[in-house]
Amino acid sequence: MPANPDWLVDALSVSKPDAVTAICRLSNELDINIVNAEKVFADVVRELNAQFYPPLSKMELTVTEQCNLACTYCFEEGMKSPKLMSRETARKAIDLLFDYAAPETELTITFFGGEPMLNLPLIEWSVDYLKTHPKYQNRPLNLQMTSNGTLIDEVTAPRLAELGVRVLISIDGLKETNDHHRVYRSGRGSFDDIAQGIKALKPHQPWVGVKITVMPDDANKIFENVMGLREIGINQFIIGHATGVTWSDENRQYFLEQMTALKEWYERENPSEFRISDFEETDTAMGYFGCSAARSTIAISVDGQVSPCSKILGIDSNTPLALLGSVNYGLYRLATRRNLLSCSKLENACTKAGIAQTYKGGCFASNMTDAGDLFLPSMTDYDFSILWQKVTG
Amino acid sequence: MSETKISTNETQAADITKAIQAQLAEKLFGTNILNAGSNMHECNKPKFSCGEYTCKTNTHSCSGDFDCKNSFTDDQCNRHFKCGQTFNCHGKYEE
Repeated sequence: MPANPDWLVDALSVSKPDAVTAICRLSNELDINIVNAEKVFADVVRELNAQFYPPLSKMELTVTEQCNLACTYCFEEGMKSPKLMSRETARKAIDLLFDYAAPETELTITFFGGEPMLNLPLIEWSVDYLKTHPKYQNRPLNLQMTSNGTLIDEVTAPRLAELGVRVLISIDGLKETNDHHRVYRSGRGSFDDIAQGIKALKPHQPWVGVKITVMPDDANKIFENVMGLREIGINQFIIGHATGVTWSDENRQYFLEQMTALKEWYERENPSEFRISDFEETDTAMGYFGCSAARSTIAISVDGQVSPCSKILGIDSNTPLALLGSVNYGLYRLATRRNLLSCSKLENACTKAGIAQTYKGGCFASNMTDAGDLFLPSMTDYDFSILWQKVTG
Repeated sequence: MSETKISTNETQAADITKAIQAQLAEKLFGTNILNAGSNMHECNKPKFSCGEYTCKTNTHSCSGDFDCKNSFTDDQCNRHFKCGQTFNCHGKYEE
């Protein structure tokens, strides 16, 4: 052990620890080579996280930054490059998740992008590595992928099912709505290809869920879009308003009216084989500000940096905000993780704005986009939280 | 890497962690959260949410966000989890 490890306390308590310098000093003081010093550092960091913070249980893996679409509202504006995640990075990321998770807990891994289907070989390799990992031990695994659906076909659909990867498709509605914003670089709409993908997927994944992003100019068509997508085989809906865009009073009113109509239909008809996640009765009351980002969830960038979540990562993957660490050394930015979990600045800001009683600060990424700071509430998101309360009653 | 080296690394890491954790806790949180007291359940983190917590009782498993305060009562810690069951902080499982 170092004669006096106080320097390591100082090194790890700052907002941006210099892991490389700390490892070099450990190597010198412990008289071990750099490889062993890296291992010691990572182990210390892991143990400190276990002492101070909750275990991880969810990880988003950015398997590629490539995407074959050019959706106008893409939140990953800061993530558009030909980068692909390597097996080495995926291996280290999976090792990290097992190391930071509590024993026997269910682990959720979401394969993300860009468009993750553009790196299917890595997904296949990762699933195999997961299930043969010495720490797997048949614990519950929830494997998911968020995809634009355009590259799912009669070959890839059964393969995904075989791997146990459940697909959540991003689609905004029927053709007219979807093709407003979910387009190829040429401007051509993606709906027809997504519909083919859904058709190919259904026999192998009978329960298909979608994520709808409601843009202001389509807020008056939510009901018809959900009904129409139900007709083509969609079973579950996650509906969210677009962030980082301007919502007029009129469009907000449309959103309220459409979601209210949908909720009334949902309760009246009680349709089988159909769920709208946002209407489910769950105890979502949180005792803390912020969200699960950095609490139980992390996101891994294509080159192995650890971010609180994919949305924060998407803001700028070259210079990630609120970086937590790396797959090489673990979550060594302990002060950053503390800030994200305690959210004292966010709580104070919500209290000052008079909204803290009912609003726990929302999404860090939306806050950054709308308010310019992860820890200042997006008042647009707050307004929508009020709208949702009116919808759900 | 040989088993001896792995063991040495782990031992050194454990020693270092033990040596610095209290002081680091003071620096990060303004208090030594490691001395939270015996009334803390497995979510032994007074300032923060416990995050995902999975309980396994008999053949049943439930998980959910779980908020532990410095001192808590059954009322404060009861949460409805995704499986629709109530979990008691003190490890008892209630139908």
